[in-house]
Amino acid sequence: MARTVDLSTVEASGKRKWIYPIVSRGLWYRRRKWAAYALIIWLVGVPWTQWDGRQTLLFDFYHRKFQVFGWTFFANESSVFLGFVLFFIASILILTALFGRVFCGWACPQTVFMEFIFRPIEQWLEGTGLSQKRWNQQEYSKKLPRKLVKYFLFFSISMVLSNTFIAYLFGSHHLIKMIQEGPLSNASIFFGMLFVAVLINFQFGWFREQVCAFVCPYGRLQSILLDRHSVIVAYDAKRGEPRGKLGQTSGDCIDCHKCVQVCPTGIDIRAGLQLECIHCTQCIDVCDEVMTKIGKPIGLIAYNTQAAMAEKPKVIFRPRLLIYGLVFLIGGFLMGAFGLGRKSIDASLHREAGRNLFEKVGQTEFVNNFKINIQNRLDESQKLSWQLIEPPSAELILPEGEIELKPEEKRSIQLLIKMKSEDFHSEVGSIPLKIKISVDADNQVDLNSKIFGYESDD
Amino acid sequence: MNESDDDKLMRDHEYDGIQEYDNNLPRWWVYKFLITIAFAVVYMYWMQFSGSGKNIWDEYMTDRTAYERDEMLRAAKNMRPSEEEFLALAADPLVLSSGELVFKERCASCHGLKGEGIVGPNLTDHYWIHGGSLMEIANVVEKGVPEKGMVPWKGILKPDEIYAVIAYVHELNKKGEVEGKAAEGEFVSGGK
Repeated sequence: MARTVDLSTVEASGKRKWIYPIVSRGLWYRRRKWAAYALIIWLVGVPWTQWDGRQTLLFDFYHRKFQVFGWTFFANESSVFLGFVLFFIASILILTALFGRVFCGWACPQTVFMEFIFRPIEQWLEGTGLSQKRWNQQEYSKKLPRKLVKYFLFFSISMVLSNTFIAYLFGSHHLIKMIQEGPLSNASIFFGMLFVAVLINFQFGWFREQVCAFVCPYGRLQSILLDRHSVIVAYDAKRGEPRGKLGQTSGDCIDCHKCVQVCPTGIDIRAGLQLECIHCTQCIDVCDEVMTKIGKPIGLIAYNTQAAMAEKPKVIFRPRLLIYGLVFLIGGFLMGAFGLGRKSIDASLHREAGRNLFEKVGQTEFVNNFKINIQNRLDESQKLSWQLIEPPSAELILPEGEIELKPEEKRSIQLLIKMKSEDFHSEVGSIPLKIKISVDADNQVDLNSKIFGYESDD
Repeated sequence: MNESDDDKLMRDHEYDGIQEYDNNLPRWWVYKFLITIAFAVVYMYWMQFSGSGKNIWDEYMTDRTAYERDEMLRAAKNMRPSEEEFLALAADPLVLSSGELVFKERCASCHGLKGEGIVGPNLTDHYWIHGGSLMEIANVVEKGVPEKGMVPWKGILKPDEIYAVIAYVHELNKKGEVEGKAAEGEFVSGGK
């Protein structure tokens, strides 16, 4: 028959089990703290830096323009993006297969902000562990000031983050300008920013580890991303069991439950690898402390692999790694090839719909009409020079004359190819056309098409 | 999962060794569903029955009306000269000489140096494809005939350059037919 069981953060009835973790400030915590501070400074600071006179990272969806370390990509450059996505996903897969969920514990914004910004504030005001629980059970008259201070701080930080997103999406200069203009001049962005700040506040103030257990797809995919040779945070059951009071059992685990008390997702690591575990290393820190105290070697809970604990040989190159590695290389190659091969202009050649393939001009000549869609990918004006490579006997006419593209300008240009029918020889009615548009020696675009025409009878 | 968990499972079915608990959804999840349902009711009333919700067509028409109004305002702002004003321009030798410069630089590649027509039609005869009145010529110069290769010059040339070249074309046509590309389009009497 159907059975139910309490999960670590949700009871079988669906009621939330609130976690009041104690923080263990061991070796791994200190290391993670520095990593976290560096990442926070990076995240918040980068939009305020410039690279080649432009914002280092800018994801301007509104103008469909993406600035990455001095490069500007436009929305139609999906081939570079495809390469990047393959490269990026394969990197995550490889990282996970080798080192498990190091991302969750060390670099995920959820963990970084939760454990190193929001939880320290909460602990400063309400203490850790059960002290927090006691504060929550206090009379409102007593706890209200503290709660107000806490949520004021939480919301201020959420606002900083929310504005940081605006700096990434609209540009930091634009953000400053909008702040100077006042909230109501940019009402929709302002209220969008407030809404996101409320969401962030909700996330870190209340929702917390539920994201990792119920929402995050990466967490849910762990069971297929990991294998027995991946490094995970693991309890060495062989050494620890049977657990019991110190001196009364042969196992090293003294069943002090400290590893459960520090766990931000409320699990018992001794039950083995679990979906909820974000590999934050808190249990390692606290268990090492206990082991040191009772005079046993540290590492009862440690970064380890299931294979190593079962004393199986270590295998680094597993089939999955080779496959991920292949995807990684393909993605990197595509990204590099499309990225390095890109020119300062983007051009494509079209025939206008509903037009004749060619028009006769007088008795001896004919003309083909084309439209060229062209985009300046640079932040500066570019002069174009045109060269008709194939067929050499034809004449290229630009009705507009010399063309100079304004910075990041996108437009279409009329182009005519005029040819004498005595020069036109083709059995299929068309001959190849090749035009070269160049800005300088490194930035040339070849456009290929066909010219239709007729052969003169004489 | 270690061994001891297996026996406190779960449902009476199993696939590939995978079983499931029969827990309730987390409460927040249930509340999310309830909020969604409540939203659907309110939204449906607002969209379908209250009369204040706009469907996609209404929104499109609102946007389009606003756009057309803006376009009209914009057009009114840089309205081109009237026919009389054009004729006055065409009588000014200074305007004509600057029109000639623009013509030779921009138009001659297709219409020929004398307007005799190469790729583009002959401008010196009495036949016009898109109408031969001054205002109709002005229209073609400004908006172009992109599907035939005629560039919309508005925005590329300055307004006074465009007006000058229109005046020049008008004078060119008055000067009389030049041997060139065969006539195309409708006959227009009066030679405009």
